[in-house]
Amino acid sequence: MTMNEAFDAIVVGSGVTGGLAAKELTERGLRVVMIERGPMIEHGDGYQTEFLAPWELRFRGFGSQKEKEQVYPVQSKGGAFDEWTKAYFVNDALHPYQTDGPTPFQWRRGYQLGGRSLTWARHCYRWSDLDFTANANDGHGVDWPIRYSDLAPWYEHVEEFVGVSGSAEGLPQLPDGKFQPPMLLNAVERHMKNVVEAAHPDRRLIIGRVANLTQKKEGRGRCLYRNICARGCSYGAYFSTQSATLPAARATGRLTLLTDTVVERIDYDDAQKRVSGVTVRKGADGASEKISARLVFVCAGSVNSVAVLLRSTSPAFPKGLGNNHDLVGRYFMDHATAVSAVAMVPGFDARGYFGNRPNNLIIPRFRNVHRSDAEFLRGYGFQGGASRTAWLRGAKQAGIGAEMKRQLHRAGPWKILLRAYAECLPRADNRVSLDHGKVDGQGLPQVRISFSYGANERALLADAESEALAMLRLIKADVLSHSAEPEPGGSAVHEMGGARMGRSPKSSVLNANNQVHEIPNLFVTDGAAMSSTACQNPTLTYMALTARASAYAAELLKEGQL
Amino acid sequence: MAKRRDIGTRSTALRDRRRVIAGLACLPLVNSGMASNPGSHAVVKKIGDADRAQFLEAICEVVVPATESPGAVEAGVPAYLAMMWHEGLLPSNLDNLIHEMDRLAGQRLVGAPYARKSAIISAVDAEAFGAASSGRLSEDLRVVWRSVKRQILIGYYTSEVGASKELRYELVPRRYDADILLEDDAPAFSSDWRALMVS
Repeated sequence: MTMNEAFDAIVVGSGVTGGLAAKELTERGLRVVMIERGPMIEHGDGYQTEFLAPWELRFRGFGSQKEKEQVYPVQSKGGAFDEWTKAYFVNDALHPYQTDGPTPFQWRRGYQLGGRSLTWARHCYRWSDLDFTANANDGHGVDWPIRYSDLAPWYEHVEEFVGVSGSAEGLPQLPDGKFQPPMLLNAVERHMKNVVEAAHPDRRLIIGRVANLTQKKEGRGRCLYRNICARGCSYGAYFSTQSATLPAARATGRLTLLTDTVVERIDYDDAQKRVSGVTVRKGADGASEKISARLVFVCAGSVNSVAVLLRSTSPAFPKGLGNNHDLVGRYFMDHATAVSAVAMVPGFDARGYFGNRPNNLIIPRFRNVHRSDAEFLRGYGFQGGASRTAWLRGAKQAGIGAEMKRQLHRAGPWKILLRAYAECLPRADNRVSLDHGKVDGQGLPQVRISFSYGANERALLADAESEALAMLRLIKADVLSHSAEPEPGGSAVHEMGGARMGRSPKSSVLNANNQVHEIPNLFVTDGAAMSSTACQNPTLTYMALTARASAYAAELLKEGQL
Repeated sequence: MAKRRDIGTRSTALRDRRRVIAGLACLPLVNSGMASNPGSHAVVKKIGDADRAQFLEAICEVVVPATESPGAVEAGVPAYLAMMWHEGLLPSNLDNLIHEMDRLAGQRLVGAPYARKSAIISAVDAEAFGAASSGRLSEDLRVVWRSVKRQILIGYYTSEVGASKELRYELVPRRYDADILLEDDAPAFSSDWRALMVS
C-alpha cells in the first residue's frame, strides 16, 4: 500500500528537532509530512492534568510505587516524571530495550506528538569554539566540520523564534544570544553569587537561559511562574512542538501530520543513489505502507534515529544507511552528571519568594577555559538552585502533633543543590545497536545500548564535587550530602552521537550540512549528529543545526540538486 | 470521625507536651511488666480491615491533630491510608506495628485515652527517627512507622484542607518575587514544587 500524496520532505519524529524541521521546511515552501509514532496531544486540550490539584489525583501527585516499579522502572527515575506527567513517558514494559555496561543505561523518552519537547528542562545554551575545536585539540573524537561562526546566525535565528530568557554575560565559553529579560536569582542564590564571584573572578553564578518566555510573543503568553511545565502549558509560555513549531508549520498549509505511525525503515533506491521515502506502520498491528518524498529528515531522538538508520538495510548499505564504515551507533554519549553537593543555608529564615521559577542557577564551565589548568580534559558546569524546604521534611524527622504542625506551617529552612554536568568523551565502544533476537511491542528489533563512563568523566565529577563543597563553605552552608559518582548513563537525558558529523565518510556519518555522506537527500539533525558533548545543554545546538540544514536542503531542492 | 478540637496554638502545644510526658511516664511500667511476664500477653488477635481502619484513624488524629485548622481525620487521611493499604502501598507488616502499639498500650491502642495514645505514638516516633533509643522497637517496625508517618503527612498536606487551608495553594502565581520578607506566621506554599522536590 502506498500513500498517494507526494511530499517534498518527510520528517521522522515530532520532538524539538522534528517540529523545527517541519516548521523550517514548510516555511521555505516544501510540502512536508511529519511522522510521529505516538498519539496526538493537542496544545491545551491535550494537557489533561495541567490544572489538577494534588487532591484530585488518586496518589496525590506522588504516583503509585508499584506502578513505577512495574510499568515505569526507567522513566520514573527522571525528575520530570510524576503522576501528572506520566502520560508523556513511555510504558517501559511495552517498549523494552537491552543495555549492557556497568550500570544500565537509562533511556528516558516519550512517544507522543511533541516527544520530549513537552517534558524537557528548557535550558538553551550556545556552544563556543572551545567546544567545536575540542576534538581537534585533544584528539578525542573526530574534528567537527563546523565552527561557531557557521552556527552563530542559526543560533540567533532559533533564539528569536523560541524565545529564550537569560542574561548577557560576555563569557567566551558561553556566548550570549538574543535574550528576553532574565529571570531573577533569589536571596540565597544572590548571596552565593556575590561571595563566589568575589573569591573567584573567573567564575560566574547566573540565572539559567531557558525557553520560558518572560515577555509574550506571537500568540504565546509569558510565564506565569507555576513551574509545572512538564504537564504541558496552555499559555504556551515554554517552547514545545505544540506551542511553537507545530502552529507555525500548520500555518503554511503545507504540513501533513501523521501520528500513531512508526517508521520501520527508510527506503533507499540503489539506482538513484537516493532515499525514496519511508515504510511506516500505523498502529500496533497495522499494515506496512510506503510514503515517498524527495528528501528525508531524521529527527527521532539520538537512539531512535540511529535505530531507524540501522533498520534500513539495502544492497548498497547492508549494515544500515550510512553504515558502510561501521560508524552508525558508535561514539554515543551522554553528559556525566552527579549531585555534587546538597547543603542547608543558615541566616535567611526571614527571606522568601513568591511564585515558582521554572529555572535554575548555573555556574558555567570555569576549568580549562583560557588555558589548560587541570589534570583532566575539558570541563563541567553546575546547575542547581536554592529554595525553602516543604512540609515533606516532617517525614524525615521526629515530631508529631500540634507542635509538628506548627513547624510545618512555615516555610522550611533553605536548601541548596549543585548538580554537575560534565563533558563525556566520544568512544567507539559506547554504542547503540540492534538486538535482532528480540523485538519490541511493534515487532521491530530492540535497541541495545552499550555504555560506560571513563576515567576523564570521573575526574571531572571528582573536581566538581570538590569545588562545589569549597564554594558552599564560602557561604557557610551545612553540607548534607555530596557525590562524585556518575549517575547511570542517560540520567542527564542528553544522549548525543551515533551518527556524528565530520569531514570524511571514513570517520563520520554526516557532513557539515547534516547530510549522510553518501546520500545527499538524507539528513540527521537531532542529537545523533553530535561529535562531542560540550558540558552545556545541547538542545539549542540541535535546533540551530536543524534550521541550518533545513535551509540548505530547501536550497538544494530549489536548485534541482536533489 | 473525631470531633474537631478548636484549641489555640500555644495551649494546644502545651497540652500536647503534657500528653507526651504523661504517656512516656507510663510506658516503662507496661513494658517492664511485659518483659518480666511475657506469657501474660494475650494471644495475638488477627487484625481485620475494621481494626486496621480504627488504628489508622487513631494515629492520624494524634500525628496531625485538629488545631485552628482541621486535622488529618477531618482531611480524610484515614480513607487515603485505607486506599493505600488496599493498593499494597503501605508496608505489608503494618499489622505488626498495630500489635506492638497495642502491646505498649496494654490494651488496644484505639481504646486508650488520647494522652496515652499520644505518648505511645510519640515514643515510637522518637525511636523510629533516632531521637530516642530504648531499643524496644525493632528496625522493621521503625521502617514501618516512618513509612506510615510519611503517608499521613502526604495524605494531609496534599488534601484540599491541608494544602489550601493549613498551607497556601497558589497554582498560578502569575509573577515571581525573588526576594520577599516573610512574616512569622506566614503559611508555606504547598504549591512550591521545587521545595517539595528537595525536601
